[in-house]
Amino acid sequence: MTCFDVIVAGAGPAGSLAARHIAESGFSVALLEKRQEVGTPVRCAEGVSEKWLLKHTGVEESWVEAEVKGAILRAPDGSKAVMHYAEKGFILDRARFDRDLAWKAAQSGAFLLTRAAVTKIDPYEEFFIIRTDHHVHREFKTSLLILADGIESGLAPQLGIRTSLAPSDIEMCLQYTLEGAPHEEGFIEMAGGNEVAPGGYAWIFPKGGTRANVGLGLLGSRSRAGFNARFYLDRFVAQRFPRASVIRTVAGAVSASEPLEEVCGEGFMIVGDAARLANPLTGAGIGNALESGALAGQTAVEALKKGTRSRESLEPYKHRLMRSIGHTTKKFYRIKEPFVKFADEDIINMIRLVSQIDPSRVTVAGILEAAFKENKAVLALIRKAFFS
Amino acid sequence: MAVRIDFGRCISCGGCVALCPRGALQMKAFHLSLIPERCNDCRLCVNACPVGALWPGVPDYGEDYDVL
Repeated sequence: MTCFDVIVAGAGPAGSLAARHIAESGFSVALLEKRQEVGTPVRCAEGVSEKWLLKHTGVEESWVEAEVKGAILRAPDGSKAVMHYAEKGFILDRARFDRDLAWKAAQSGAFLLTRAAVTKIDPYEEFFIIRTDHHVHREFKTSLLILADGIESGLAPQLGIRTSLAPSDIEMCLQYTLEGAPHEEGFIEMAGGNEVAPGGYAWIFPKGGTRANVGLGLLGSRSRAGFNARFYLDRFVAQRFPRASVIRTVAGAVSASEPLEEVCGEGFMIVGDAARLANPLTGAGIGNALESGALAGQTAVEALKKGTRSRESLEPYKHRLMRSIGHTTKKFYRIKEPFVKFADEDIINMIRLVSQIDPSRVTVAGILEAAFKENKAVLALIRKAFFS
Repeated sequence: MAVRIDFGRCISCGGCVALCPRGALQMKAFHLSLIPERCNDCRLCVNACPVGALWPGVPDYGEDYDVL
């Protein structure tokens, strides 16, 4: 049996960043990845705002497939509104991004092990015994555990945390990477409508040239056998890009829920998608995952320096997380609820209102205010979310 | 009765795992796996699967049932 100060389950952005912070502080950490290669298969639309990368990882040219300076919002009747972002965004090569982050963690001294799926966690008074299975059969002993096992979040239930999502709190997504899909360069496009993507939206993310990530998310409660994400996406692609070839199929689910109530406990912390940290309205998750990974790493180091693993010593993770992204995510969740009930004509009205604003002045808050101009309760929420 | 997985269609996105209220579906390193005893055929996953890889369970007619 091998002993580590910390074990991180899952080498996505959150897990890798946490492992790197811990390794850089001189503690021993193992980063266990179930796949045979970090980063593949991709389960992401690959968009991220520059500010998160600058804060946590820096920007490497090889990660960036395209730069994004704004968004086009498309209504079901074909009308559109344009918004220019205040800060630019990137469409990443997620496979490369994830792999490089994991490698950086390994360079900093973390022990990265692929093909090692954590299957069993046995909690003891002062430590955990972790078993990995499938290909690498090993046992590890660790005092701290960071769960970064993504949307499935299959390990937290072993520690008594309930993670299953209601069908109305999950977006089932499917995406094709298309070649031969002409689109507006430098802009992402989001298309709404109950015939396009019930309870979600369809997106076109530029990947350079005529390549694009074209996908959509469908609220789990609005999906039916036969009328699932594939049905809607095939129809969308047939209408918009009838001549494009599909060079990659990506599927993935995105939580559209509040963050987990308990993101930490005796000896463990939960980060990224596993803690349900994706933005419930937009589905953006990379930035929040990086933030949670960094905070968990920081908290783990502080606890290890004090030589403790108690729940109290890990509570700061929860407080920091709530302060930086948790409260905002909760507010977005409350806005999502009325948003997914929108009829097509509500969306058309919203986009007509937004299209009258100068694109450089359009903000997410502005769009939402246009959407809920007759709903005072939601308007108040939006103002609170963005201006407090 | 338990749902059935069509492995030819499944692309291991993990959505059904996050959705299952009884923890009957698990994501192994490369593929989805079902613990039939835990599944009560509620069909949340069947409806939500983005690629139609999950099917409702078939009734178990026992050994006496003869398939023609």
